[in-house]
Amino acid sequence: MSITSRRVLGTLAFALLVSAPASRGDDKLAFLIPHLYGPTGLVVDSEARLPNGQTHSAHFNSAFQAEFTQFNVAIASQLTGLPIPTPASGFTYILDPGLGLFTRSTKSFGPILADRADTVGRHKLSVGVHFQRFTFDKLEGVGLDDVPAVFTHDNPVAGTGRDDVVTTTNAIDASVSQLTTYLNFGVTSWLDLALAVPLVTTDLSVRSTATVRRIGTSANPAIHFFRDASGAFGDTKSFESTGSASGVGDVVVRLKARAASAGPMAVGLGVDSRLPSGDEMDLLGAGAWGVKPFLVVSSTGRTFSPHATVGYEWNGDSTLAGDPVLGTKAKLPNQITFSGGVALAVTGNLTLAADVLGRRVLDGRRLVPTTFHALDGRTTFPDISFARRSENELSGAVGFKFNPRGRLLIDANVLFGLNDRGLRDRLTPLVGIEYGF
Amino acid sequence: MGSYRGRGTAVAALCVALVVAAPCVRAAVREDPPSAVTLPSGELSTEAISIRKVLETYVRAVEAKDMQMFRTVKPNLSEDEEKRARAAFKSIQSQVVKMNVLSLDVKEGKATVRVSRRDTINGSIVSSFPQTFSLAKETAGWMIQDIGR
Repeated sequence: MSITSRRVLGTLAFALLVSAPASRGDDKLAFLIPHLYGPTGLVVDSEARLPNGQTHSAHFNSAFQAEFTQFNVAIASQLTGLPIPTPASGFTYILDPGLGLFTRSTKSFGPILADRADTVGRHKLSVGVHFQRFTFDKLEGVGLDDVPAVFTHDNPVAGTGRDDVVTTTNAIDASVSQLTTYLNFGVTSWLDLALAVPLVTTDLSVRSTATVRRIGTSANPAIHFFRDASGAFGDTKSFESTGSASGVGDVVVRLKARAASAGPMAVGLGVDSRLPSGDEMDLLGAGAWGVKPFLVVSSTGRTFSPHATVGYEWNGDSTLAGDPVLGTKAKLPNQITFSGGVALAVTGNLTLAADVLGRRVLDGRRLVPTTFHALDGRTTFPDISFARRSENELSGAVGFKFNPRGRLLIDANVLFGLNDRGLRDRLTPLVGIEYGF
Repeated sequence: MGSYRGRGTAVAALCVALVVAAPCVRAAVREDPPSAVTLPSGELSTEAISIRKVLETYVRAVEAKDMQMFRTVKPNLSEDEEKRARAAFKSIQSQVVKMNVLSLDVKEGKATVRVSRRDTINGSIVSSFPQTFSLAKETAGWMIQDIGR
């Protein structure tokens, strides 16, 4: 390996050292939604007196606040889906036995976010850096700019004033930037060892506008109200919370073997091990170990190279899947992952890649849009609830790899949703470079 | 905070491992010395010396990606073979070949040379593999007739 490659390793190590996240005490992103309305939840003002003379504390509850950990799980799940740009990408060679000369086995530089069975080659090292930025738009098809949630009174009873509700409209801005550095080393001609280290920045902002709906107390606004600036009984109040965190995400270690090959076809077997190195309370990592064995089948033609992969990911327990406030852990959902696509060598230095990437999240908590029916039997409001079920999340990816010179590759890709399951970004751009030593 | 410290330690350990591993990786993938064709020890016949020169020229042609030189030692290249050779030369940035002759049989103007070859492509060791050269003595001297595994 050249001095340049040692410098690359040194730079990576330095970047890892300096990227250690700064702790911000209790101000963790996982608490941002549970603490949006304050430590005691959504409490409206009241001048009503209880029979014992104490001030009435009008405490309202909602699935949004109590169960919106699903949003945390969704981000964590997104981080568990961190794609490792295919380590076998770039340059592979075969011997022409009749001439004793080595030649590029394929003009294709391979897929970007999917995989192929080829390994990088004995004692070869490839290094790459890829940047992706997710700006999430929807969760289970519900626009994040307008998530409705209805808060009901403690012990609601029709005709008692306890049938009042507070409706909220919630706008969530969530984005995750991932700068992933990876190294892939050919242990033997058929076995690769790869390491992917993401540096993650998560930005989260929630704005909630709450409105008192006086279903049972319309004649007396003093029972449930938000005091406005002039001290009068108001109907609405806005809440806002914003946070950001950066640091090392979950490191992935991969072993991949080219298990068999026949002509242009090859079969690969591998396993990805995800380490819980990212701080899950700041939504930088999943907070749980993950192990994903996978099988990949690919064919390398001179110009047209199809590939398909299937895997199963076992996940451990994470606080994000449990209750961040109480600190209890629960199992992060397991996943079946699958992908398929083609790499098309347009010229000797340009490859187009198109893939369908999918995963079936098993028995995960899912947001479900519902309609809230007030106790008066007439009034309805849009609402959300949560249910456990398995869903397929499908994405498409198109991009290119360009070889400007030597063994340098420039990658560009766009990821987009093919359905609206899960936490979705309309378009996720990726740019990156790879170099083979 | 405690978990942060644990992660920081793990990341630092990873970094140290990477830095420590770098020289080892370098040692594993460093380039070989210049190419050479090594014959079995012992007194060399005139034919063996001539054949070694042919193989040296073959090695130089591969390393220099020189089609003309390649053809001087393998003049019976078909059109398809020449096309493949040109494509191979074009697809490689650098190549260093080390050839160790395992056996040399010369009989009635024909020679069979079995070699162990080790190639370094683009600065990375590819592998060692066996090769068999069939040569014939022509007016201009020994020429490669056929190359096989």
